[in-house]
Amino acid sequence: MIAILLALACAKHPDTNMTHLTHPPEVAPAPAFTPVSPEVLALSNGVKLWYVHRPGLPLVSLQLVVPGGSATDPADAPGTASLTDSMLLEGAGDRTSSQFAAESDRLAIDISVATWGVASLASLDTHTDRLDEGLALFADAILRPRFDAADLDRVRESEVGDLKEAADDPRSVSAKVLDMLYYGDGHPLAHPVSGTIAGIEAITVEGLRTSWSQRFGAGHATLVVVGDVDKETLIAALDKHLGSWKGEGIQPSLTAPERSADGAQMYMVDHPGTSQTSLRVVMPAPALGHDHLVPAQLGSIVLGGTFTSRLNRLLREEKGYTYGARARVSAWPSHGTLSASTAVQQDVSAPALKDLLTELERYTEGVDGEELIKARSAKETRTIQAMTARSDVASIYATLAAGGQAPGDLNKGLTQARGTKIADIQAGIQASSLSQAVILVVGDLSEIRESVEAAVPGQWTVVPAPE
Amino acid sequence: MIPSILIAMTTNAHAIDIPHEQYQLDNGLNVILHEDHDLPQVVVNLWYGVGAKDEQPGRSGFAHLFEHLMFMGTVNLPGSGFDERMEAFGGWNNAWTSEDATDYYEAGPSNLLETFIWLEADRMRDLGRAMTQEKLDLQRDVVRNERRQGVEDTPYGIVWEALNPALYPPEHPYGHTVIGSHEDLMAATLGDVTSFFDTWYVPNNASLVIAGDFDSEQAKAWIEQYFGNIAKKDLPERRGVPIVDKPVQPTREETDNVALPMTLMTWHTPAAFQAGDAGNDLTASILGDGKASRMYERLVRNDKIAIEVDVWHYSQLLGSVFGISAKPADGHTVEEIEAAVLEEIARLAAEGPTDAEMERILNQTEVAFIQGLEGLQSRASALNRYRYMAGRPDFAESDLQRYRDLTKDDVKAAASKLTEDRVSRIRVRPEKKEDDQSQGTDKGSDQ
Repeated sequence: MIAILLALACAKHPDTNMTHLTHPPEVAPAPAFTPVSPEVLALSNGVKLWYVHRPGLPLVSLQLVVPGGSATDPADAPGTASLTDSMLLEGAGDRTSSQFAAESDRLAIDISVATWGVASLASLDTHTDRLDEGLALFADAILRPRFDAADLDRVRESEVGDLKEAADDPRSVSAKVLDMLYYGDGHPLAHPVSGTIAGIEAITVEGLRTSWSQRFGAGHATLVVVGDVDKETLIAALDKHLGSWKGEGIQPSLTAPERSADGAQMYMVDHPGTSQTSLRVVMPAPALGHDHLVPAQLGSIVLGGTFTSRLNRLLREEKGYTYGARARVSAWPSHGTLSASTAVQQDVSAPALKDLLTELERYTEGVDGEELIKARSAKETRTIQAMTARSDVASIYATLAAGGQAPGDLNKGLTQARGTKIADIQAGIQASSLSQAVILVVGDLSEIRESVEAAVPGQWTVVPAPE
Repeated sequence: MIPSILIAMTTNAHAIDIPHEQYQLDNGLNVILHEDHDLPQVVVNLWYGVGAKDEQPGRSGFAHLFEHLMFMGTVNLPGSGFDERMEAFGGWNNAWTSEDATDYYEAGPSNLLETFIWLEADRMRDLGRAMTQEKLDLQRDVVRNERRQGVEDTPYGIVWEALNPALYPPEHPYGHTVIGSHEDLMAATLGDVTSFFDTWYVPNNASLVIAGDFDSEQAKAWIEQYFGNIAKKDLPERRGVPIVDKPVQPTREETDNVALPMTLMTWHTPAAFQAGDAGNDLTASILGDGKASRMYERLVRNDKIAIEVDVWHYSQLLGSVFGISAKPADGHTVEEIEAAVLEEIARLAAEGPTDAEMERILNQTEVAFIQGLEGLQSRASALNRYRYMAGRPDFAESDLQRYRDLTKDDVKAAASKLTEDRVSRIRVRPEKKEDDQSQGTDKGSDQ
């Protein structure tokens, strides 16, 4: 009877030794993939248009990229670009703030503006049937913002509230202080995009108007549109609503931050009462357009870009110090950065920092073949997935536009990644040296200072938390 | 090619469908297949019908802790092999745990589908055999750090810690938080882990969705090959659910390391997909969606007593929650906000929504449905969520129809139950610091 039962079971699974259950299956070759590439067009007023026709769902996603961003903030009013961008949606054209919100809601369209360091990205997501009405409202926001004083007061109070909340969050404090220390006084990227409480409180209606008029010029804007609308209909609608847009815009002049190679600069910020300690390290990396950028990005995936990355595996999966650790490369035309970050339980702050720095040192020795394949595969998958939703496709190309890149650079980067070798990554990593790094520890110094200073000897400087 | 989503135009509305095939293996594993060949990618979503509501007393946080342990390796693929195997070829994964369920998902290029299926089947078959005290201790540390990061060191994190205990009695399945307490996490034993796995991680308590660029016949063969011989088991009786209509704590005062006070007002509402659930969703939208909403207009624009307000309705299997949170403007108090909130709700209950509000909400709901089903992962998740919460995966169109069918009276009925005698208020006030001469901006803290 037992023999019969076994025979029946085996009939279902011809692999009688059951190795199909004990060994993972072989993986077939990866499918071929080429990302969709936008058609490059222009409106009658010269605004660049990157267009992807994506039928199937009645949705259109639009992103308008305007160079500038928080790098254009006046020195005495950090946060001006961000607050200005928020105010674009607080009444425009003939509509008050309340009426603008009501009309946007009635149409079920989503208009938002994100401020980055060197650009602003205004987005419109709409049902195809309401594209024309949505564009009318969007154009009002971009071309005819009202900047009413009463609305400024209301939005300002909300922004100040957000900044106060961020000041209570050690990870937010850590991110802001790191940029201040790495870029140094006077650099356009040194201050937080969201500004400071003093800066936000100093901004006037006139300051908003100046920031808007300086940055929102048709001459340097790029529109990315992905969705269920044919080219002729789209261009006609864009020309109708944005065709009258004129003007040039200022472009911040960025330079690479000056970093001495004399050794890492080490800082602490006191944040009493926190149960975790935030650890961050930032150092140079290749700039946008540099041949070493793609290899450096792949290297950062190995270091801290996936769950099994070196940092996460060590600090989370082997030591249990943290909920997660990551690293990433960010790049601008003038420079790039490699940053690594984690938040660890307070009582292991010192050994965790030591482990983090040891891993960063080891990273300069390069990656192995398996790690390279993993990083290349991760980049491939991320690009495939970014092609799924219309808004994601628009975002990935808007990001290229914000960096001054061309649509073809997406596929170019993917092709370069596919051909990247271990030696290429080694070359990409060389730009990132701990000797040029800023190391920042944010936590309850009464509990951790002594052990951190003992674990990582050197010149530590305690800096005040930002307001 | 099968279109990923069918949208049929009717007179003035869209019908939404996610084409799929559903069947069950002999061992009870539910399988849902959804082909979409637009891009060379696949998503696997394995949904287990167990969540924090099924935890034993003194083991809060255990379902989520167990979710972490599912990635700690098996006899066949030890250590971090689960992640390493898929990441080597461009795959990635994650998981989440709620009060009601635990959901694991993988995504990657389509050549990884067989690997994804094998990996999920392998750990469903015998994760318990490879479990050790060392693994438990390690992931306990990770989860406690997740708790520190998400609750203790996050401004107002204490509110979410206090929410469930304020609404439900301790013996209720929702009477504790999903993340759990440090004390309970520390109390978890290896025996708890193997028992939990043997009890809940069985094929007849799971539903597997595969979505993306694959061949259904091939997928069926792999699913049978890898999951087919995992034994089904009888599931235990679920804990009884005490009926709760009013909060355990009408008012709860907390302090936190924050600069501004905040109030969170919550009410019990009907369970997900039950009568009244959709009406509460609509009511939340009318009251709080966007800067033209009633609460924003009243509290922020007109009365200027708050700097922000948030309104939500969180639908759950055993009973849902309606919530309104707000932070007072300088010189105003959480008590003023609470009074104004109750007035606005009472006005909506008495007068009902306007035609413009109904038009707005229905337009937004229709678009949100289309947008929400655009991504492959969201479609895979929706199929499993509908199957688990509503009883069938093809519920998307019926779900949208619930909102289309709502009337002004449904909104009035929902609002009429958001009353002062049923509310729970959690007030968070800034901790007093030794060098801080102010009392914050909330006059209420002086009273």
